[in-house]
Amino acid sequence: MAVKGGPATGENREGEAPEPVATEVEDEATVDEAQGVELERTIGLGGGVAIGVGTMIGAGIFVFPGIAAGEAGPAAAASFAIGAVVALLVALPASELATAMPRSGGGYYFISRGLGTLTGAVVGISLWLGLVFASAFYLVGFGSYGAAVLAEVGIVLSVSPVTGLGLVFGVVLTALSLGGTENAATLQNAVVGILLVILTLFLTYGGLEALGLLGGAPSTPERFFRFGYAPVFTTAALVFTSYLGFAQVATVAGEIKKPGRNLPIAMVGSVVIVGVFYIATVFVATSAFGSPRLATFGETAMVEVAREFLGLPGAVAILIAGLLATVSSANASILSSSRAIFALARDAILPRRAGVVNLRYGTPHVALAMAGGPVLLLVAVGQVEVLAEVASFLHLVMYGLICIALIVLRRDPPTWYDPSFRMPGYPVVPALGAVASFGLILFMRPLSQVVGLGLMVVAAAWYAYYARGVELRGAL
Amino acid sequence: MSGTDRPRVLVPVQVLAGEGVSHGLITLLADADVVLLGYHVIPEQTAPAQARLSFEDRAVGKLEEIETALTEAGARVERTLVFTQDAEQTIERVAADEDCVAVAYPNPVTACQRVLVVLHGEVDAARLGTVTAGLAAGRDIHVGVVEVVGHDELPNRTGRTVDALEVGGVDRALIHESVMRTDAPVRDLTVLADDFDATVLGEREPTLRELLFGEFDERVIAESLGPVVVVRRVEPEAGSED
Repeated sequence: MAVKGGPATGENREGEAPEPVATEVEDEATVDEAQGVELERTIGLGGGVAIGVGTMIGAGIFVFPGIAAGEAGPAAAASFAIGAVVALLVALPASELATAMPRSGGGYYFISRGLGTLTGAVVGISLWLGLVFASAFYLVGFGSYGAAVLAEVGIVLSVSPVTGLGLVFGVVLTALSLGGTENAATLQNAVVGILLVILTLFLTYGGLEALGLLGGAPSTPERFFRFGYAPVFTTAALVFTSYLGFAQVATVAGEIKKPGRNLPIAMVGSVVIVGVFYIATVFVATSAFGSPRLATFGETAMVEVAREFLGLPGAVAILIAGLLATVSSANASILSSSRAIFALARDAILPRRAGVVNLRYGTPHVALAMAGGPVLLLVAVGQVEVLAEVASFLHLVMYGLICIALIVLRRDPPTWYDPSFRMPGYPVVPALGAVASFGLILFMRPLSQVVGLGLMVVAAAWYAYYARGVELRGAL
Repeated sequence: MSGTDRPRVLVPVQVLAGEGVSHGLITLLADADVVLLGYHVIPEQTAPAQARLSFEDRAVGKLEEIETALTEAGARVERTLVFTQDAEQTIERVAADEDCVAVAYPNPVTACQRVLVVLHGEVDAARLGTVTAGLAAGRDIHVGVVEVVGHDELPNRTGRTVDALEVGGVDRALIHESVMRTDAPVRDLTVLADDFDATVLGEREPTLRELLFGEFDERVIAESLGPVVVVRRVEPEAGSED
């Protein structure tokens, strides 16, 4: 299992070779001494955490509670806890790899360097498409909230507006990204801050109410595992989409300041933050209604929970929060997806022109179109559960491989492998992370597994056709 | 300063936005150690590495033209190209990394015979004189020193600047002192600066008013027709932010 050092080599079908990447990583820039070129790092710790939390929080709180409670009962809280544990098991090795290779591309980059081009190509293409499925899932969630707003103000339509709203916003988000909106990150940070405030207030109030501390009777206790144990795991597989965001922090690893310190804190921290919020949310939601009734509310169950506790103002606050959260998650995923495409194009696994940036707007229009286009297609399909699971499937494959890549690199480290964060618990934790990631896939519904596997086979076929000559393993 | 008495000056050029370094500024920097910083600003949607892939060749070509012109005028030049989402951070970081005493913001100007040194607020008057002398000494360049004060204040720092200029080798006959009493320093200075080819300012802590309405040096850079050289303050030790 020798891992070679040195630059990436080889050519793809069109005779393009991987671009060398700048080597020297400093706190505020990546420096290519030989060429006299530097790449500024501009995202601080707060920005990194906001990317992680902002990507994740849309799904777990505003889309899943009703669906999850319908499948697992109050034990859906345990499903979210399982998801958090799996995410943490992966976040630790991902942090170590990210501090050793703080470059754009995240999980794809680690795996292609640790395990070779074929695995890298499959993961890279899976990451691109996984984020496409995730964006579509968030947009359908957004559509549900939009529809709930329309219902709230009394507009009744003959057809459900969910898909239409999702499509319109998919187009709007892609167009905004293409135009190079200013202060997008500042806006995203503010949105995440507002969301956390609303949720903290709401969950604190709801939690106290549910425990009977505000004078009312405590809600009737429901048997925790009312549907048995198996649904806890299938539900964990379903809701794992709520934890996909931490790896998105790694896709912007090339832009994070002081990556050795900020990357691990941002990745692990964002998982912990959203995990706590998710578990509290499910607890409050199932206390308010009991899971069978909660399930009937579907994607916008949290609006009814808020109405139960706080009346109309509560419902309005959660509606607004849900719109913000789903749209910010969708946006972050489209952007991450375009980063994944760029990383593939830089390494000659996709045509170079997929990664080009236009001078006028400074945006990667081809990559954004390759991300945004398929999103719209999937929104039109509109199957929330399948979209979520395929997104999770494609990410979980990558997560398992991240854990394996860490073990491979630790066993036989190339000369450049010098992570500033070394994860505790090697080799047990990464091994558990790999087993847990692959294990969770087994609990998904067959349709999602077939679609996920099919996409991976297509990715492998693309590699065989287009990029077989490219050699990335061990190259920095 | 890097062992010589040539001042080390950062020249940031937004190289793909059509910015260049004018003939007048090249003349002013003929005796300087120039750190030529070509930069390209990209939106947050785009990774700097991505922009590099698309624009590096074009940007380097443009930067090499400027480097050649500066070298031919007599300056020593090092060049760096940075892709960034935050130009201000980049300029500040490179200036600190490269130990530059001043940053010259290139506005177009054709000649360089008169330089205006502005003393406004809590700036190091002597340091401004020293850096300016490094650029102008031994050459036929007139140096105007203007001290900006409020209506009820007394000027008291011009002397230190003039002394430093003389020590640095500027002929006394080429130094011209003046005092400006004003409540609208940016407006009045940019009018005065029109009679000069370049302006030298000192970097300092912004006042409360400036935090609200924009920092003094940034506003002068934006309003000036000619290049502006901002002499960096000597920091005790830069504090770390995330």
